[in-house]
Amino acid sequence: MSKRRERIVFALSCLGLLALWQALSMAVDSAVLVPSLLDIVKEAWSVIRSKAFLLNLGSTLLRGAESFALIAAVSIALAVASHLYKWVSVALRPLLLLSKAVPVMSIILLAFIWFSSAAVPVFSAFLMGFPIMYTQVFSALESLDPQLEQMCLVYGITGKRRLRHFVIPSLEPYLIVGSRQALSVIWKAVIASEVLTVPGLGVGSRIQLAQVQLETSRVLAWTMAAVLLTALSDGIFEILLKRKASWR
Amino acid sequence: MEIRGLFKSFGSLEVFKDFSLSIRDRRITALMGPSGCGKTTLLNMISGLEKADKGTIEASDGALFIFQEPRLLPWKTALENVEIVLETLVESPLERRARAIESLEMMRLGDKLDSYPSHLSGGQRQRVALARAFCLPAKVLLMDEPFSSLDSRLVDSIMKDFLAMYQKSPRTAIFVTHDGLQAGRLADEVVLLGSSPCTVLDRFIVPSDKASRSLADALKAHDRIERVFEQ
Repeated sequence: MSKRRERIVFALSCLGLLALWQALSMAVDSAVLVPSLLDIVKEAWSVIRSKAFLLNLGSTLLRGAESFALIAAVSIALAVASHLYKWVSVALRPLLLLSKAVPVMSIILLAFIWFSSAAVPVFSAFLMGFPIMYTQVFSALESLDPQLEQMCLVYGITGKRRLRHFVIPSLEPYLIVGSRQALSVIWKAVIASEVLTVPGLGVGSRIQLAQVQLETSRVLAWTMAAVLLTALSDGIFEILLKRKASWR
Repeated sequence: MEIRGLFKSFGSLEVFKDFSLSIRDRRITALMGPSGCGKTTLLNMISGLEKADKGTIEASDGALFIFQEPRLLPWKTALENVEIVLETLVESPLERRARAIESLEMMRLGDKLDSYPSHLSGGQRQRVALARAFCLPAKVLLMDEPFSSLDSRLVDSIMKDFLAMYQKSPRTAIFVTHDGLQAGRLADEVVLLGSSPCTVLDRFIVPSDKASRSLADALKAHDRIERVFEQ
């Protein structure tokens, strides 16, 4: 399929989804159950214009950034340790298996029982995102090219210079992919936690309150803000990945 | 370079058993032998990548390796790949750059300085690897079949440029190859090895000067190599 046709089919599919929603809303004829597209757009506009919009979005963004920084630091440290000492990677296996298998909601609810509500989003996002980032960095370290490794040794590229010229550039694509995938689960975990713990500010809190008041169009408007966050972080890493790959 | 009383085994396989060999300084010695006879292991031990079980190798400080594959860093340009190895040697970045460019120009890559390895042909990549090795002052040059993964049409011109570069700064070079004609063209001396354990079957000096050697002389050396290995 050509690029042009791909775009056309993609655009038609988007339009189809919107049309389906609109048709459904007209058939059901209830703003609480399925609000019309116009209602949603109006609501989204008023949400964006409200003073609290940036505060709420910023709070969620901050929680995400905090989780991300924590995940990056711990994942890289533990991946390096696992690469150097096999027993570390084995010791981490149960934790990785658990965090893959346990439902997000269980993690959030348990975190709510154990910690103050402020720590819940960061904790649950950490548990969800850590295995993704760790796995990427660890597999990158394990797949360092042994031939280039030998070349570095023979040509005296050792210590810090080995790190700068060989190891870090080898890890870069994995770090970017890991960050991107980790961030997409971070947003989901953070917002889900906010829905449950309802902090003063946060996209999740707004969704929760709108739902309680049966303001379905507002639930959808805030959901769009959440989608925006994911799209934004995805876009940034997409650009980074393309820039870094200019030598391919 | 003197190798004396070398022992090396892998499990129960004795690759080297009291092996000795002297290699003439500032000459190219071609090392030939059946695969598995220990040529690569010998190079690895000379360069220090592997340790001998017993024995001594003299004058092995600062041996450089030219591998069968170019082994360039894919995220660095041709110029950067050469500059990097000069970092600890030459302090001034300008001086470093000048030396790297000079080396690359000798290998006819003056117009490819800013190309990434993925945008170079196989022959050009190996030329970068040769430039990288030659810009360093190491006394010993170890070459593990550096021309064997290249298109046969390219090998001639690369070997010619290699020789020109070598003549400018001759070192003690050990040239491992499977190709008798390549040995006949480049080497001052040819050493033929037998396997398990590694022994010297024959060694001879190629009579004419390698810089001006005729194809007939190279073929003579090639024929002598073939005869020894047939026996």
